Amino acid sequence: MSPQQFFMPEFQVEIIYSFILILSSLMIYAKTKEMYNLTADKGIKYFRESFLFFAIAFFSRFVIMFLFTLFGISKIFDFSSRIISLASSILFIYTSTIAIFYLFYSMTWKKWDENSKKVIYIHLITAIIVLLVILTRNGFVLFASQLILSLITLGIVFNRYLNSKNKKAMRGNLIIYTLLFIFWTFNTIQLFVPAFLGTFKILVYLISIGAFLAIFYEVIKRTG
Amino acid sequence: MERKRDRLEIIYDILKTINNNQNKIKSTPLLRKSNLSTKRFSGYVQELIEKEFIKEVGIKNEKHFYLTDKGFAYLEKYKNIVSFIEDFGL
Repeated sequence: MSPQQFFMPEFQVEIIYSFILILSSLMIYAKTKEMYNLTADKGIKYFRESFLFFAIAFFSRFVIMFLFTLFGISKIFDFSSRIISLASSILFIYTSTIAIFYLFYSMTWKKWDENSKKVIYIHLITAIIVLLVILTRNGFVLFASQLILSLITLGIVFNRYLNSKNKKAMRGNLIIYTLLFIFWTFNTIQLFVPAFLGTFKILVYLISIGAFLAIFYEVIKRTG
Repeated sequence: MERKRDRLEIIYDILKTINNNQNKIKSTPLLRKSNLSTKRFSGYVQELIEKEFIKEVGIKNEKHFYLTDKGFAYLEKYKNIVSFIEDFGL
């Protein structure tokens, strides 16, 4: 790879995109710290940790994109020669799945037995998904599992919205969550099929940034 | 039928009771005003002391509960916390 490739507009777009999403995710995590310290509420705990995992997922996604630019997609799953690629892939698959799982769990934890160790099952299921994706070298497994999980979580958000007394406040979050999951799915597909988004890539990136910044705004509105 | 208070609301009620009492209250009136069983009350008070929301000062029958800075912060931010939890469906 020539040094000029690092200065190509496409690569610079990836840097800016990743930087904004990592920063906004980390800010959401940081801004909810005091609220969690005051309440020790499990919903807040898993909500904020979900964004910490999103930040790690975006970082590893960026590393994979960087390596793809460097070596080409065929080498991403080449275990023997590309240890960093493998580590980044595992990190991305693991953290991105856990992020969605945690968001799901933050909304449903009250329905489960509070003293049970459901989180261990979340990590176990995620580890199985990672193994399946790596062993089959098939990104579709990741895409399908995250899509199913996202749809179930959206279903829960929609159900909460329908039963909410304050529909106006929840409507905004319903839209934000919908955008977040749709564009997260696009982000995942794009990693395995780089040509997937084609000319819509910038638009998808802008809406993804918009979804994360909107959540960040909703968070700082309440945390100051 | 009255709605069941959740954990955060019970904590808010205990802290608010102390605050409304010029930030100084004995255990018995606090128990009465908190509307909890003795066992649950002891659990909550223990948790609030451990997390430094309140402090217990005095000896034997002259012990009083006081709010700490963290306790005041909780009271101040409670409405925002509840709105955050409700709006994000947590």
